[in-house]
Amino acid sequence: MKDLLSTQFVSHLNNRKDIDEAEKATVPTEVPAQTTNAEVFDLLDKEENFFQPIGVGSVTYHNPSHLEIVVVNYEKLLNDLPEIVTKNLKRPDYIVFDSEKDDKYIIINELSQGKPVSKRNDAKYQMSNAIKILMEVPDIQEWINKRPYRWCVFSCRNTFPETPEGIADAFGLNGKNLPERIEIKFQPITKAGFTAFETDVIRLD
Amino acid sequence: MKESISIQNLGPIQDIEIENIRPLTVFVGKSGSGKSTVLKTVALFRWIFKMACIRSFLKLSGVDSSPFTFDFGTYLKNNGMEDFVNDSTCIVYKKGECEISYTKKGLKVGNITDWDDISLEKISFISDKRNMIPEILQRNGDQKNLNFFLRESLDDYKKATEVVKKLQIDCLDVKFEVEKGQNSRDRYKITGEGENGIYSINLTDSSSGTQTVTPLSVIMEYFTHYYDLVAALNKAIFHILSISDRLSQFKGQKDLGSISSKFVNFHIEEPELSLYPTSQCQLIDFIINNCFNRQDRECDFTVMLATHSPYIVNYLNLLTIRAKNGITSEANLSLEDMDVFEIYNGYLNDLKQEDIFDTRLLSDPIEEIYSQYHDINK
Repeated sequence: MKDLLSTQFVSHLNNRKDIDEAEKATVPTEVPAQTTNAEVFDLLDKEENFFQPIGVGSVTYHNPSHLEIVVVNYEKLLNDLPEIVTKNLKRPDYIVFDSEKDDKYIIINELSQGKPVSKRNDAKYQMSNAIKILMEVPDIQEWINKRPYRWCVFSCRNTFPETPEGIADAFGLNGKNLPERIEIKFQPITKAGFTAFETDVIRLD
Repeated sequence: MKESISIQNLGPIQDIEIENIRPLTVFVGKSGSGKSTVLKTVALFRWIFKMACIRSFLKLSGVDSSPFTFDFGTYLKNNGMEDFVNDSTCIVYKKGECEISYTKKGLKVGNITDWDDISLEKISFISDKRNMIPEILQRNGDQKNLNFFLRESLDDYKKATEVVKKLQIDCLDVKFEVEKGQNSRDRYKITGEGENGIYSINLTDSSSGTQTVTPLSVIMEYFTHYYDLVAALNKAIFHILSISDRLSQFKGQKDLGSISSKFVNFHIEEPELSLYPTSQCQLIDFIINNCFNRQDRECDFTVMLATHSPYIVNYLNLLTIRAKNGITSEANLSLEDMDVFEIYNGYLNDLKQEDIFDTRLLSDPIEEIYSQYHDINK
């Protein structure tokens, strides 16, 4: 998948619009990615050193089978390309997948820290937009469709802020009654064959 | 009868699909997101389905050629949706075995060939401009140039007030009454009790909340308690046969009243307009009690509404937990009988979780306010 992103995906972005050769992105492009097979790890929205101590990140991955997990910084990948090539493309933070040996997971993971409110609503659209553009590349679509666990996950660790004298705390009560894994049933995501949810704990096999 | 709709490329709507329209459907979303567009599209296609059923009833009763045609262009114009349609617009509505679709090639209305697939339908659209109704009627002005949906609401209100002469409006603790005024014109009065005792004023002089909730309440009271769907459709069919001079072709095989599928469908824009939060919840009680909790209903009801109100959407969770726990002494409705959809960027986001609706998007602004409050107050 890293190779596909580096070559075919970037070529596809170059060819989407009428762009002068001089302005196109270089192919192959370096794909910012890190790998781990740790049993538990946190991710944070950072350009480098994505992996963080447990509890520090916006999401905790549980990987009891020690799958080899590749984390691609999708946002940085697009940000590093010429603006003309990536204009109007939404950029969720990470694409997470296990290596081709296992072929189980593809996870589009949008993270939020601090203020998820403004991000929560946009996250589903960001993730659906990423799926759409990725699936426009036939080899990437084939690669994705082989994986049984196709997830979009919005992750944040926040609680509804305390309000002075509790005057508006009631507005946060609905959140307390929701499950740990909150389904996001956004049709552009579900129709693409992905399952979406909001959680700050992702459990792999 | 299962009912579904899919809409692609219509105004602000990119691609939405509702596979199974529930008895109560609620749409939320930003202004301009397309909530009203969906409401109006569903109402329109339900109306076309109603006419398709009438056409099929006539055909099955021996009337060979259809006495009316469908003119989708006029419907779009009436609905203010002419500019919403383009070459890639595709709308597919299905109820039972009848499919009605619109693409650039035109409108296609399926034929219903089985008596069991015919349904008796009434469509009521309660506009967000309903607060103008009392004023319009008082002035007795020209109503032809009114917005189509306002005119529909006005017509329903006029029919309703011919029958509903008194109504207690619980959510505002006032009473609505129709009195005969000068020149036999109806006068609409609101009676209540204030600090200084009982008062009685013209509806046009009452509060904004009273002026928006009274037409809605009266219309719903009429259709849920007084409206004779069978009689209304019998009258319509007789009218159609009369003006097309086909009475002799009609060989009644079945009475309309023997058709088991009967629906009155409400489409309400912003029921919460000008209402205090507790009144909004009480209005929902009124709607749910009348449409879904009464045992003596002669037909089925559906309610589709577009709202910005966090109170209404959160109140739905209370209705579901009452239903789940068998609390029938208060308004209640099962989770499986409702849906809440957010329309976002032209697409549908289903807010139903396993046993609750995720209403946080309507609380998010409060969270944002207090996050900023804390940042400043550090």
